[in-house]
Amino acid sequence: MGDWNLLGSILEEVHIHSTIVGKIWLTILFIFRMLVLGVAAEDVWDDEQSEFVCNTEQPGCKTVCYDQAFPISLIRYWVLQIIFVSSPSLVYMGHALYRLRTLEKQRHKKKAQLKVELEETEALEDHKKIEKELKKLDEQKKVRKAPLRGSLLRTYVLHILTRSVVEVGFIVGQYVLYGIGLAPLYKCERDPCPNSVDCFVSRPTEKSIFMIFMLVIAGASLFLNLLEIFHLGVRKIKQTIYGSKYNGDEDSICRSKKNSMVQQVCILTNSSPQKHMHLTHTSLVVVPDKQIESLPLYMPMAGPPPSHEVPKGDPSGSEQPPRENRLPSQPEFQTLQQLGATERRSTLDSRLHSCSSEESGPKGSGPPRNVGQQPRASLRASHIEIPAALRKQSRVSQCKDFSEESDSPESGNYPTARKASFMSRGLSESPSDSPASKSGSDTEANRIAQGESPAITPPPAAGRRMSMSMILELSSIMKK
Amino acid sequence: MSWGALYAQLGGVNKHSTSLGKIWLSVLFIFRISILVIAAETVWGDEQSDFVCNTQQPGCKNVCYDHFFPVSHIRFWCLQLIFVSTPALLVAMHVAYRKRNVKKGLLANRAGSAKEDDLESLKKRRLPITGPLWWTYTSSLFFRLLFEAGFMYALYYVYDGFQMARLVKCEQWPCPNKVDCFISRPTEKTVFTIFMVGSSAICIVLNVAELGYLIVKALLRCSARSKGRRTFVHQDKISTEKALLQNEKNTMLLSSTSDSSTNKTV
Repeated sequence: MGDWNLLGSILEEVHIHSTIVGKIWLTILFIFRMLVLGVAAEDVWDDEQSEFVCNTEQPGCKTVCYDQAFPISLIRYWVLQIIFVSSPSLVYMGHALYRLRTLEKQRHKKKAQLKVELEETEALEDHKKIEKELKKLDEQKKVRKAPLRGSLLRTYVLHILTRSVVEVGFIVGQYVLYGIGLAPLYKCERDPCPNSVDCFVSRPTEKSIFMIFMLVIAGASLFLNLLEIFHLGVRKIKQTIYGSKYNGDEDSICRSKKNSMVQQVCILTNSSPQKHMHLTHTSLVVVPDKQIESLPLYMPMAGPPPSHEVPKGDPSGSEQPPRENRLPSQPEFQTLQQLGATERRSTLDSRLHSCSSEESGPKGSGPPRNVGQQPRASLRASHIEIPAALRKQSRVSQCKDFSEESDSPESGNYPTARKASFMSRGLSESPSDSPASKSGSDTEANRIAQGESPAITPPPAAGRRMSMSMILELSSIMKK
Repeated sequence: MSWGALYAQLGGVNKHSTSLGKIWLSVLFIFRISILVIAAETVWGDEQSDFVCNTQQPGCKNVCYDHFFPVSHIRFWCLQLIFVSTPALLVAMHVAYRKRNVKKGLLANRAGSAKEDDLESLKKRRLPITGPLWWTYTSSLFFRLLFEAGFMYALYYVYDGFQMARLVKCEQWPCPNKVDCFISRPTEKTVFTIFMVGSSAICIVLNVAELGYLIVKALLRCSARSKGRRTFVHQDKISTEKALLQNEKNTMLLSSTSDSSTNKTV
């Protein structure tokens, strides 16, 4: 059996960009499908043809009867199922990474602009403000997850739907091909077999058990997909129903160019009555320079959101940076801003720090396990040196990262996250995922730093290498 | 996906287990998974090819083998190990959730830039097993016990004990009358079966001990808390009245300051 670690390491990357239900789905995929397939099921189907016995001496009869009974071996079928079911996730991940790259580019541009401004301005206050902005942008670099909104959300929903359709297709396919279980006796009437020949299947009970097990797991995955769609749908409905309450969170949506729906929310934001004028509760929005001029139009009307938004915002997790309204041209608001400024900035810093520490934390487990290129040991080979093999296989997923790391020195952030086991890393992020996707602002995404735009180019190159070796792996799987 | 990947997953959970939990994990990986992969799989490797029946009837051997070995021991143990390892992931999820909340608390309470150290230490720190985490941990232990015991019993039931017979008499169709079939390496298989059952029993004992330890610890904690409350109650009543008065004053002060702040911002 080929090594699943390649696909596993790619899916670990997907893990970062998933919601919590998506992470559970990935865990089930890894443990109950890939692991079971690799360590248990494969051996059951090993002697499928050699132990397929027919009650005849007719040469060729056994071969044609086996071919008729088993058009595709279930092991290969399940391998195809896993690959097809995982593929939409890879498409979504590609989109997420692309989005991260554009955000990073924007961040760089903004940083350059700010640096220029820093040199130009002489006023001490402006100086300090700009320095703080720069610091914030630096901190954003550490956040690596694209916020789930706009076209990315569409891709996400589409990928879940595709996954569900593919899953259903494979479940139906398995039922049509083999039914629920395997009968021990197969009556064959194909040429050159004389009349009807009794053929006996090897290990039918054990195979039936595994077939049922895999059907149940596929059903569970399908259920999780539906749950995820429901979860996203409910959130969307909540957002539209409670759209006015989320005004502060979505203030920055006004500035987004990408989301036209968002502009309607903007209008709602501006026209909805504001309950509190506490700027301490204002969520801050970093405004791209060209849109600062438009701000004065909004600011007088767009007051701070109600205070109960903050508690809602808080559970949404550390990856939701508050948005900052910067109004250098509005002196009457400056004093009000500065009241809550330190408090907000500290929470902003702390939240961004938390993003960074979440990402950097699991790195600690990475380096000790990253020992360089390892040959991909198949399970059979690992019989011989299992202690080493156990360690090796936990590092095989790192070897690709290692090669990527050597490609680009700047991609330090990018592959190291994959070094950690996806559970420890992914779980630490999972609570913050759903809230990050709850808040719906693109400028917030501007701030969520994904410091990989220079790193993005090496991974695709490595990705091409990956895909080649993946094809080789798959061909070795299929050969069996 | 292989056992190594599972080890990587569970290794992270290990940090937050009790010492008994760590011992359990070592026993699991060294005595069960390693033995399974290195030794047991080779022993059972030729179980069907060397299963010989005293007949020329085609298909008889297949049918007899299927009748006497509905699930191979190896697959049994693989599934048992996978199911037994899975509840630990529940704990991992809960720990991650709790850490996130603690982190948020830290960040909300303190202002300042030197927070990275705190957060890093939080990442490395082992959270105490109290409150809801205790319940998650205990229920994961419970499920582990359930799966272990369940699989052990199923193995005993399917194979009528833990011993492998040398000879089985088969009367399945298409075998004519009664046919003698001979199992390959029965003694070696018996040895390994007893070994795996023994390590499974040790794991059950460890899990029960861990469960007991957690329950006792929780009970002690509860009793310590209730003792503390009782001593507080026995304090001078006057001092409590003073404290109440002070509380009222404080609340009044707070409300007045919040009023003044609202006046300021509006």
